[in-house]
Amino acid sequence: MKERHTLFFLWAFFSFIFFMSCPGPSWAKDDIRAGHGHSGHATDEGIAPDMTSKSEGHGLHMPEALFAWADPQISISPPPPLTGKQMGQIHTLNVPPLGYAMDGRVKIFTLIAQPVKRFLTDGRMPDDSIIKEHYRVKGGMHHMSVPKEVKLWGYNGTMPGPTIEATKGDRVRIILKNELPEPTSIHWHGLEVPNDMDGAGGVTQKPIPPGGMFTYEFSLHQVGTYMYHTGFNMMKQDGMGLGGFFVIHPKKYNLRVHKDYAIMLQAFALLPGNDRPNLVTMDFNWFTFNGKVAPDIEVMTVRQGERVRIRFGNLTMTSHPIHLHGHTWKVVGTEGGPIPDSAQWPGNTINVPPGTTRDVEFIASNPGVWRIHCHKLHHVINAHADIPMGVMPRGGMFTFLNVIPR
Amino acid sequence: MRRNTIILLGITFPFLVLLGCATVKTDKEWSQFKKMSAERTGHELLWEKSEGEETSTRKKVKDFLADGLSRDEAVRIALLNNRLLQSTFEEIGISKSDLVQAGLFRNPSIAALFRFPLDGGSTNIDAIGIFGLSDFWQIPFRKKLAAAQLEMSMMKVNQIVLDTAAEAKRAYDALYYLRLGQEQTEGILRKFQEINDHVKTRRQFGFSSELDIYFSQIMVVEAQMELYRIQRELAIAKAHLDQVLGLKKDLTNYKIMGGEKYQLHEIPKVEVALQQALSHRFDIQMARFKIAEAERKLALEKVYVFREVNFLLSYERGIDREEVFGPGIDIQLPIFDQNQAQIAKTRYVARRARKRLQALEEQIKEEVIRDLERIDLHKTRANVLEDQAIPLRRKALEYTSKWVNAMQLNRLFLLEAQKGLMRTQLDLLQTQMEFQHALVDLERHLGGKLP
Repeated sequence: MKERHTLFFLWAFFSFIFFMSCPGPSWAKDDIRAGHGHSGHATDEGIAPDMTSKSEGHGLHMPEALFAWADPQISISPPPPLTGKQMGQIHTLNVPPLGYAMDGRVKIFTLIAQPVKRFLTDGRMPDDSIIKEHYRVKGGMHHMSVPKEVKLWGYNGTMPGPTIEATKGDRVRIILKNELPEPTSIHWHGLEVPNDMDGAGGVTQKPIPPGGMFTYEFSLHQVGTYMYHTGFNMMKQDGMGLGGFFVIHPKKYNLRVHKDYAIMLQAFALLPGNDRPNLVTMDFNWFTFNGKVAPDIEVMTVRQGERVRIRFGNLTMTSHPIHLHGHTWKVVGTEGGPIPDSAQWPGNTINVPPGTTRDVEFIASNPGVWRIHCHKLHHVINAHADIPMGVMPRGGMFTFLNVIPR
Repeated sequence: MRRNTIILLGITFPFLVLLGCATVKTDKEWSQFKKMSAERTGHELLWEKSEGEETSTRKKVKDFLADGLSRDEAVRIALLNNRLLQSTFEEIGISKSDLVQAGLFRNPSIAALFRFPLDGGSTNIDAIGIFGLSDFWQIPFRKKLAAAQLEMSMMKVNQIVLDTAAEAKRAYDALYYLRLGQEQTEGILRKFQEINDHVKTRRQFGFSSELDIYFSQIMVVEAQMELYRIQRELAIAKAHLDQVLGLKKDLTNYKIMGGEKYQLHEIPKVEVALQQALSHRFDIQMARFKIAEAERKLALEKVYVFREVNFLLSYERGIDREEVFGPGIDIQLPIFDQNQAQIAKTRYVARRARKRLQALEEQIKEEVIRDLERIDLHKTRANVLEDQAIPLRRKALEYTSKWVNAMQLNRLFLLEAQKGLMRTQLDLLQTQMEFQHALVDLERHLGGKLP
């Protein structure tokens, strides 16, 4: 009897010791951490991220903040030196070009994924006389435009990122540095690259941690208009603007164009006065050409008779029927590359579905100032408010082709 | 013998007449009362006893009202001119009269018989003088009792003075804040009307339905009812203030100057407040006096065992002209009624007074705690409304103004933000009124100014 009591006591004692030493369920620990906050640094959200915790599945350092635009401990670099250096032929409206360095026969591009502040519009009346007329209409809602600066993510200080231009047969090396507060990677949209270069973060490569770098290197055997965009945590990072054009020129074009423009279509859901986009809604109210809305989008100015190419890429969640006044173009390429001459079709409105690119070419034969815009009417107005409408100034995906007569 | 009688009568009669010359004067009591009252309220009192004094009061009241009425002036007027309070001052005279009465000897009485012999001879005279001997030992007891009652009357009147001052403050605050509330509610109503108009406009652009219009109209109707309620309450508050100030119709058209923001830097601690209440409040002093009164009454009732003891002086002249003169005594013998019932009753009264005192102490504690909690609640609430809620409302208004002007928000947001600010401001006004009421109640429940 006495022995039984002793055994029971020992069993109970060791069970208690074992129970006390157990770490407990992970959710309980998370709760405790969330409740008290670990030592760390404050972000601009006022949340203390825990840089010591590991993300599930990737074994990476993850900030605990749910949404930090920037990590104050990661200094933001200025754009790499070749940013802004035009070494190609494409004019990406409102976005600087990107030059490259050479390492033997390899073209080296540098991209830095980083927090970017972008004025979708600076709220001022444009000086350009050709786009003033809307603002002078009597009864117009002239005071609708106020500055809209947004905190987004981009590359080399711009959103969207600069256009990468290369030529068929090139070997390219793209060095990506991550200055975002969370891991990232780049997916080369439409490029036939080796699997380990596809940039599918968490699948073909480990996501690049904040402060980390990764080098992509591959050869280009295609021709056409492609895109690059984030390959990790896409719903958020694409929504924050991480994308750009990747254009591969043929060694020789059959027909040279005088002007080669690139317009990336993007959309954001932004509340008045809020500089952070809502990433979980489809109810977008700011529609951009290259991260700008009308009237802040550059005007494409050409001379009468010039051959013009415009490349469109769509990183939004809906299609955009882009329409040009006064001209008929031919659709000459998609994200699959050039369309054979026999299959090209004429038109003046090209629907650009999500995740695709479309190239159009035309002769600017008709002098004058011509509108070019998305034909979804909601996409040519800024900051949709349910206000009784007067004469509303244009906004969103709207600019002009100015054909100067000979 | 006759000489002796004449001498005796000659000495006794003037003495008795002198005793009968006692008069009722209240100057001493009134000045004592006025002093105590001024300590508690900070204001002078005037007991109108003549037409001249009434005229002087009326002039003072007119002067106070001439350039608008402040809260302090309202209290002054109420203490000078409140009709109920003036009638209460007479209590002091009534009780003082009772005290004087208690010190008076009963009047002696004389009975005389004149009998005429039918068969001739001198008239038979039989006379007897009766003097209340028991007054000699009963009067001191009666006076003590009446003095206690006079003290109690003065306390009672003092309590009414405090109540009147408090009522004047409450009535003034109610009127002042209701007026502000009325202006605020008029603003809110205008805002609802604007919303209603705007909803109708929006309907033409496809932004609102019939249902939205109904709902916005309901808001207008409800705001109208709210305004109507405040207007009626305002009329009631005005009538109440006029009554508390004792104003006749020709003086009721005055302007309210504005509420004084009561700065209470520190809310007194419960113990301090309770100590003051127990030492200052007139009702608890009265309750203590009730015990003393019962004890004095008991002493008096014990004396009343021999309620009637009279000294008699008898004179008789017979028909044979023989005179006799001599004293006598008349005693009511306590055989059947030894006043035991009254004595017992007084003991019950004394015990009841002691228990009431205990109950009152408990009640005072509860009242003080309640007042302090109310003050804390309303003060905290007013501070939060002033320092947090209203600035936030203003920020919301700035935000909506900016973005409505930029046409990135619809105008309903602006109207709602304006209405929200007004509602919070109205809430602040009501809270400030509740705060003032709670302070007034605390002052009254502490028996005078706050420590």
